Amino acid sequence: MNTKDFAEKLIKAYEEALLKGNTKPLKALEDPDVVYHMGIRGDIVGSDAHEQDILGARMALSDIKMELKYLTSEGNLLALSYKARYISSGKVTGFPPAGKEITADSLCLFHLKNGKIKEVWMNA
Amino acid sequence: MSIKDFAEKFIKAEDEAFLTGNFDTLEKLEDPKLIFHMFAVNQELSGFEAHKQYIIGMKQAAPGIRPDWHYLTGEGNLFSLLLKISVVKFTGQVPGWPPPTGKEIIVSSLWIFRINKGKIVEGWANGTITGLS
Repeated sequence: MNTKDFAEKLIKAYEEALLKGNTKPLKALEDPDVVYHMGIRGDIVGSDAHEQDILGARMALSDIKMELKYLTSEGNLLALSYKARYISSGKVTGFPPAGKEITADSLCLFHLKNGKIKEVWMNA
Repeated sequence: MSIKDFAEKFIKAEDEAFLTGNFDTLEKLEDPKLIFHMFAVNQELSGFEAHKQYIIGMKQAAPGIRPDWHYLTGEGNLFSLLLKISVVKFTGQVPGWPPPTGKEIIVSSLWIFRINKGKIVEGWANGTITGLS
């Protein structure tokens, strides 16, 4: 699979995880020890921790509208842009009150190793 | 030259442009028709000259400004840098930015650069800028 094909698979896996709560396809693309560098949010280490982060976000947010776009790739590096709008559910401490709109606009760089996501940098 | 060496050369060229106003090295590393997609400020810069004018605008708006670049990774013709700028008071107008607030601005952004034939042809940036409003 070339890197662009991997990117398309990754986009579908993210949609499945965030929109439906099915994290299996995404976990299948990740190394168990993957590290996500999330900017001011700090690092998420391991695919289990990333899964929990996504499931936690799904509890905190509703009416998720997201768009992931392929930007470029080379060898084992691929870049995506991520734009999303959510409504806060008000169910999770630290998130805005219920009904408040939240927007996200990120640039994501994925480093693959042995066909799995090994390291990710995002501005979050 | 490895992609990491190229990235380090770019960082030095940016420092030179910001600190001394000398764009000669930067011009050698950038394609005249490069495009920078700067999502955080919803702006596209087309061409080296536009990038040069952008830097000149930032220097005028925030005298003493110095970008703090960190190499993250690179492979083939792609490399990525983290940019941090902090404790700078913008008192002038940066092209494409909202009017100055006089507040401290803190920039933290992720950059991805693509090179072709030894020159930067495209870049993507996104991040947080606090103090703009």
